[in-house]
Amino acid sequence: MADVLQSFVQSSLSKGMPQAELEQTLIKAGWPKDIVLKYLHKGTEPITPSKNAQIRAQGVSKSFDGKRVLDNVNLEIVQGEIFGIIGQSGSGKTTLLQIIAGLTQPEQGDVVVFLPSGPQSVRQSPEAMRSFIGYAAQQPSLYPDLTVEENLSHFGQVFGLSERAAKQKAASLLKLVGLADSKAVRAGNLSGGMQKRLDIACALVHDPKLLLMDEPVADLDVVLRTHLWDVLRSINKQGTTIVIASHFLADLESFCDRIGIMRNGRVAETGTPDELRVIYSRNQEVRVELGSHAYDELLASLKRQNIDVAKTIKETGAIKIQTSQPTSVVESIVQFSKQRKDALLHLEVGRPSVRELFEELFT
Amino acid sequence: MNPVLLLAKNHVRTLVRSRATVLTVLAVPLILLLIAGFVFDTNSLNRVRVGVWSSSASELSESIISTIQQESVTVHQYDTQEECVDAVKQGDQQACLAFVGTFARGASNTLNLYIDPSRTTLMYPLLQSLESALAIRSDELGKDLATSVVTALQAIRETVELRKGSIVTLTTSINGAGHSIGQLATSITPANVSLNASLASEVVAAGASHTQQVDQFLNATAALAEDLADQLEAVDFALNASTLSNTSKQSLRSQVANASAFVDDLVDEANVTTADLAVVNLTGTLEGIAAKLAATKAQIDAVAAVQGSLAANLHAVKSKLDASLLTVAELQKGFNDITAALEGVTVTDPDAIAAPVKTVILPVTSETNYRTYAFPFLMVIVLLFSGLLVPPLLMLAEQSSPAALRVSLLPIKPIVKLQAFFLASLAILGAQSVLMLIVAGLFLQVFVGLLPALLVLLVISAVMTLIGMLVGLLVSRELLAVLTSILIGVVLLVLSDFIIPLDTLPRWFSALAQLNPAVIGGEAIRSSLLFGDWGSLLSVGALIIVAGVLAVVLLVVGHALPRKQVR
Repeated sequence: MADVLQSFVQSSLSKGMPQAELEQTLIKAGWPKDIVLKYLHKGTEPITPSKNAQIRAQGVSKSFDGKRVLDNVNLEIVQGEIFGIIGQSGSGKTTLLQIIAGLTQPEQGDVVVFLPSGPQSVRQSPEAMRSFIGYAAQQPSLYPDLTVEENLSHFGQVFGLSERAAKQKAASLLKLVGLADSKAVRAGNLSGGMQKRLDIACALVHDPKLLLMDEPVADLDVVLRTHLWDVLRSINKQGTTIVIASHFLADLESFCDRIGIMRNGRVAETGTPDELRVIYSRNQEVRVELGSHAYDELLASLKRQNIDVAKTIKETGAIKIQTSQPTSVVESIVQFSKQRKDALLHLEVGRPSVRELFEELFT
Repeated sequence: MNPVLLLAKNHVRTLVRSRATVLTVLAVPLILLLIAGFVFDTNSLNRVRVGVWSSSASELSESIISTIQQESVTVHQYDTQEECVDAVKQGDQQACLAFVGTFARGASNTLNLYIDPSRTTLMYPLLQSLESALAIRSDELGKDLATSVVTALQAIRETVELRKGSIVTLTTSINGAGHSIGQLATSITPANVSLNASLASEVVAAGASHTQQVDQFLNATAALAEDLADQLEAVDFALNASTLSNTSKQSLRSQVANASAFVDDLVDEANVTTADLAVVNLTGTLEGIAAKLAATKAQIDAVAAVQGSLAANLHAVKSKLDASLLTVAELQKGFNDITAALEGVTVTDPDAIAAPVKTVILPVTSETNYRTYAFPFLMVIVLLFSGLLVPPLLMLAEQSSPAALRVSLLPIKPIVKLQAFFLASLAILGAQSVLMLIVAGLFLQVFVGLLPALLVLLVISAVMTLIGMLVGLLVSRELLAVLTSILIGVVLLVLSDFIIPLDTLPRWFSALAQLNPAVIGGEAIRSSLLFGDWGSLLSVGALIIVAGVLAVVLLVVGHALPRKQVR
């Protein structure tokens, strides 16, 4: 029942129905008010402060040109974790990161960043926390006319490093992001992926305690992406809290300690990838690989048996079947294989990935 | 739609999306027209400040000073010509009038007008105004001098008019005397000539005739007597030689002697007869002469009669000549009056009437190249627009730079960023200043105050940079910033001495324009660069105060403005 209500609420909100109208509609339909409010305000309820919070956003709202981008966001990110933020385009991920970084002031609410010197409000003293925050935006933010090394050295010195220390730091970071051979190249002449890496290096030049990254691996190939995640892990191990907004959900799923799902300007849910899969997925996913690849016949067989098949995802040589009746599906697959004397090469039952969950949530 | 129209439409749409840009685009021409219309609604200097130095005060120089003072010219006297010229250099005075020499009335005087050609726009209205004032006075002087000449001529004319009757009278008298003399000549000349000519010729002719006759007679008688004597001598010889008796001989000799005596008598007789004949003839001649003398006497009597009338005529002539003498005396008096009137005209030099005061315009420096004079102002114009454009473009370039986000994440206070923009802009403008001074020093080679000029230029740069930064702080788009800076630049330019002299503006407006950094800077750079005046640095003090005020405003605005937020 709750899943039905949740689906309806999500669908209605995604279609742009005002929250007040939706609330009245549901109450008139006979839903208990407390349950309606619980689902409607999920993600906006006050959070319970934890002792080791690194960032705490409370009631943060922000609009641009009359359009509410963030709507009463409450979120807490603890020290030392890697926190991923996912959401559709325009869901407010970047705005939330910018507010945390102090680049944008919230209209309502506040974000408190807990620093070694004490908690700092981004509304009251955004400059105070900048020495502790590194930020890599979607678009690289560099001086295109300066060389790679000059960019790093300049920002390092602005953060208080001596010229020598800044150069040493630049050299180590360039090695870290794989740009050591390009230190004399002007930033504007770098490829998109190289600029992105340089931008990340710039975000790390002052050893920030909190690293905010918006789509950090968007322009990187698989090798570099893997390399970057390794780098970030090593940085995280040194105590740096990392917050990442990314569309690479599979990477986030495997990389992040926790993930926050943003929808319609709110953080709809936070949790570990496993927690999210449990919370959001009514179905389990059965992945099967038959020697005959006769998946259409398999699906027809399941349909004839009235077994629930919520979604199918065809892969090369295999198929994923999301169902609320995984046991029945597994039994039918085994039966189908035996009857057709087809080789059952692979059979796996599990939760859908966060990406699939994401797609399910927003489609 | 045509791609050109499509693109143009999109450009316009993009432009008008910013209300501030639209407002500026529309406001720029209106404001410029308004200011220009207001500023150019004048055709003369409201007030002219002129320093005056006179080597020796004269009535003429004082009167000229008095005249130009009545022409909205403020006059300040200086003790030396150098002080007067320096005052122009320093801008205290707009021109210096130097009265050289005695500056006496009626002489051709030279008035040196020292001006500063580096005040390019002020120079011509100033000259126009001063020349107008001086021309008035010069005209008055010329008029005075010409009046004295005309008065003298008038007196001469009146004298001549007055004596014209005397001349007519004199002419009439002379004519009358002439006529009388003519008549006299007519009556005298024929009688005298005819009398003398006929009488003399007749007497001479008659005398000659008679003398000839007598001579012929005497000659014939002498020849006869000589023949007779020869005959008698021959007879005597023949008698002596003859054989006749002595008595006979004696008797014959006695007869021959008688014959000789006879011959002698004959000769004598012949002589007497001839003389008598000549006397008779001469008597006849004399009688004829007597007759003619009688006729001549008659004529002389007639002449005597004429002489009587001649005497009467001569008396008449004498009386007329006496009358003429009186007239001549009157004319003499008239000439004396004319001489006296001409002596009253003291002007002897025609130039003194045509240009009683000759104004010589002299520059306060020895330079004659107009470009040299204009160079300080050109430098200020360069710094004016550089200062207005460079800082906002730097600031907006930083904002629109790909690095803008990262810069905004830097732990730097806004004031530090402002200081950095100021320093960078000042460095650029400073480099421009040095470059311009190098050009000035190398190519124009006339400047004596490069170092104070550099300091002045840096102060000007600082002020302009601060204004430009204010634009960059208040404006968020490059186009809008450029338009705004140009608008401010043009307004500052118009309200400076570069285009129109401030002294032509209304007094309150002129006073307001004195706060224009371009005006203060222009004055200072002119003084320092052209005249090597370190004192110009003191005048820059006002500019520094303006800079200070601007800096405070900049900080207040920078603090008051909402922080630009990243979208």
